[in-house]
Amino acid sequence: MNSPDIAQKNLTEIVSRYDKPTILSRVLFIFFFLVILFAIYAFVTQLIKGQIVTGMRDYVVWGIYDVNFIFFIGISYAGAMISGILHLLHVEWRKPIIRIAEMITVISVIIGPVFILVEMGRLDRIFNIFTHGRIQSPILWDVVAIVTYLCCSILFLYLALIRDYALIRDNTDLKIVKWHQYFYKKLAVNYIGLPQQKKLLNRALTIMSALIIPLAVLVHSVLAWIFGMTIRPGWHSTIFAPYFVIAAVFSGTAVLIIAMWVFRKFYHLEDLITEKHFKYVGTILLVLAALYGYFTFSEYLTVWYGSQTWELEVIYKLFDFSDYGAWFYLAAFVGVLVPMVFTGLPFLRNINTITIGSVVAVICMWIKRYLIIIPTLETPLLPLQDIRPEYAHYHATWVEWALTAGGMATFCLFFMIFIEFMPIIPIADISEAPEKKEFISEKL
Amino acid sequence: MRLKKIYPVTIILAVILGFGYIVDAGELINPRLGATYVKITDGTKSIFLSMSARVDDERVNIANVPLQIFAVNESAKILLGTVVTDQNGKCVLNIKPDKSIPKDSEGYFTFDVQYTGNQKFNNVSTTIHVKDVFLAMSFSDKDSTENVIVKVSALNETGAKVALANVPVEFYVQRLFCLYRFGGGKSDSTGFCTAEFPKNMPGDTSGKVIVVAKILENDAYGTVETVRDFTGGKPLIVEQKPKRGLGDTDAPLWMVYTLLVLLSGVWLHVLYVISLVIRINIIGKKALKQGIAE
Repeated sequence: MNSPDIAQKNLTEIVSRYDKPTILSRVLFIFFFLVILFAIYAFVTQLIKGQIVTGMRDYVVWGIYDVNFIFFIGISYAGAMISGILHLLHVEWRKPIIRIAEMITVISVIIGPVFILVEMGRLDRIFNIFTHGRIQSPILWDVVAIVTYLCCSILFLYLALIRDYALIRDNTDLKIVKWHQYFYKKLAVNYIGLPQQKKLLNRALTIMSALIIPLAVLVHSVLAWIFGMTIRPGWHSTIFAPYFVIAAVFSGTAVLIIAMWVFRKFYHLEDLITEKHFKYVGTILLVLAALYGYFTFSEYLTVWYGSQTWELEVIYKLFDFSDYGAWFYLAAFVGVLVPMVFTGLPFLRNINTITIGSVVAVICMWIKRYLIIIPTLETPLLPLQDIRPEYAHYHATWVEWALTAGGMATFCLFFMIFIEFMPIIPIADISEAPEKKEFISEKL
Repeated sequence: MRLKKIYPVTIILAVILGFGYIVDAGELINPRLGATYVKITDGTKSIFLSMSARVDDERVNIANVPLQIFAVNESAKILLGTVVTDQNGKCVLNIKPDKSIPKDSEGYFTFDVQYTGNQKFNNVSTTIHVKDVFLAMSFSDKDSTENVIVKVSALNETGAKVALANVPVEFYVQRLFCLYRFGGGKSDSTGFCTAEFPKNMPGDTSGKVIVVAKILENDAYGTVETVRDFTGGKPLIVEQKPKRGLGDTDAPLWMVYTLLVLLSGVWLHVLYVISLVIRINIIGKKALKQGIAE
C-alpha cells in the first residue's frame, strides 16, 4: 500500500473508535450543558443585580474570576510548548499527542478571557480599551497579546489540520453528513499532497511553531506584569514574569497529561498514546515541577528575608494555618512534590500515577493563583478600619463558583464538540512516521 | 351593668392620657441658637446660624427648623428672610450688598434671629449687634520690603467714611487647604494697619498670591474680611516633565516603537502564513484542473 492509502485506512480505523457516541459521552454532554446553563443563570443574576452578588468588594476587586483567567491562560501553554517546541525539534513521539495539546491551547485561550469580561462591572465599556487604551498600561498589552495569541493558536491548529481535512474529504469509508463534507472540502484548501504544497505547508507550520513560543511567553509575562508592576506586597517582584511562565508551562503540561489519559481511556487510543508518551511528557513535568519549586522558594525566601513590614503581612498570612497556611503549604509543597515523586521515581512511574500527579499539580496550581491574588488584595497599605467583615475578607459566592464550574464545563464540552470536526490524532502525521506506519498497517 | 363598668375605665384612661399630654407638654427642650455675622470683600453680609440642644446629656444638632432674621432699629423691624437648618443644624442667610438694612442712631445693625418653637422645642431668639465696617487693602514696596496695608473705616452720621482706630486686623495668605497667617495688628489713629509680606512666599507660576485681611469675630464689628490678589509671591517653577512618560497621556516613544515592531512582526508573519495557505489552495486548484494529483 502506498502512503495515502495507509493514511486513509488509518483515518477510518481511528475515527471509527470514537465516531459513535456512547451512553457515557451523552450523559457527560448533557451534564456539561446543564452546568453551563446554570452558569448562564448565575451570570444573568450578576448582570441584573450587579457585582454585589459576588464576593468582590472595595479592597478585593479581583476574585476567582481572575484566578480562572490566569489558570486557563496558563494551561494554554500545553499547545505552545509541546506542539511548538517539539515540532521545531522534529521530535517524532510528539505526533499522537500534538493535536490534543493544540486543542487545549485554543479552547483555554477562548475561555480564559471570558472570565475577565464576566469580572467587569460595565461590559458595555469593553470597547473603551481599544478607543481609550493607554500604551503604557499592562492591561492593554494583555488584551493585545491575548488576541494575537488566540489568532495564532487557531491558525497553528488549522495548519496542522489541513492534511487531515484533505484525508477526510477524500475518504469514502467514513459516513460523513453533507454539510460536514462541504466544511472539510473548504478547509482542506485543495490540498492534494503535491510536493510544492507539502513544502509550503511545512514552511507555514515551522513559522507558526516558531512564532507561537515567544508569543506564549510574552502573553504570560504580560499577565505577570499586570501584577508585578503594581506596588503591592507579593506582587511587586522582578521574577514574577518568568515565575508565571514556568507555572503556566507546568500547569499546561499537567492538563495535557490528564487530557491524554482521558482520550486514551474513553476514545480507545491505547495503541497510539502509549506509556512512552506519558513517561516523556511526565519527564517534562518533572523538570518543570523542579523549576517551579525553585522559583517558589526563591520568591518567598527573598521576600521573607527582606522583612519589609507590608510584605511580611502577606507572607505571615500565607504561613499562618489559621489564615491561608493550609492552602499555601498544599500549593507550595504537595503541588510540587507529588508530581515530582510520581514522575521521578521509576518504580512509581506509570500512566495512572503520572496522571494522578498531574491532577494534583493542576488543583494546586489553581490554589496557587488564588493565593497570589486574594491575600495581597486583602492587605492594603492603609490599615482597614471600621469596615464590614465582607470587605476585609474575600469569600467567593455561589455566582462565582457557578461561573467557574461553567468555565470548566465549557472547556470539556468544547473538546467534545471539537472532535466532531477534527481528528484527535493527526492521522497524516502518524501515517508518515515510519514505525507508526508499519504498526498501523499491521493492525489493518 | 355594662355601662357602669365601662365608665370608670374610660375615665381612668382619659386621665392617664391627659396627664401624659401634660407631662409631654411640660418637657419641651430649650434649644441653643448661635449666630455670627460675616462681611466679605464685595459687601455681602452673611449671618451664620446654628441650632442645637442638649438631649440626654448629649449635644445634638436640630435639623429642619425655620429661623427668621429681622433687621431692627428704633423705628422699624424688617424681615430679611427665613432659613431652614440642614442636617447639621446649620444654615446661612446671605444679604446682598445692595440690600438696604436699617441702622440705629449710632450706625449699628441689629439682627434679631427668632425661632418660634414647636412641639419638642421652646422658642428661642438671639441678637447680633454690629457696626458696618469697611476694609480697603493696598500694597506698597518700600526698601525692597513688600507691605500689605489695610484701612479700616466706617460711615458716620452724614454717610462719610471715617477711620476707625484700635481695630484688630489679621493678615493671611490663601494656601491650598487653609489660610496661612503672616501678620496682624491694630489699626492706628488714621485707620491703617500694616503687615510685612513675607519674602519667599510661594505663589503661582507668575508669583500671584491671594492675600486675606480679617477682623476676626469682633464683638463690635463681627467678622469682616477683604481679599485681593497680590503679585508679590515667589514664582513657582513648575518642573517641565517630558511630555511622553508613564504618567502622561502619550506613551514614551520607545514603548510605542517596541509595540509596533512586535505587533507588526507577529502579524506580518501571520499574513505571510495565510498567503502560503492561499498559495496551497491555488496550486491544488490548478493541479486538480489539470488532473494532476499525488
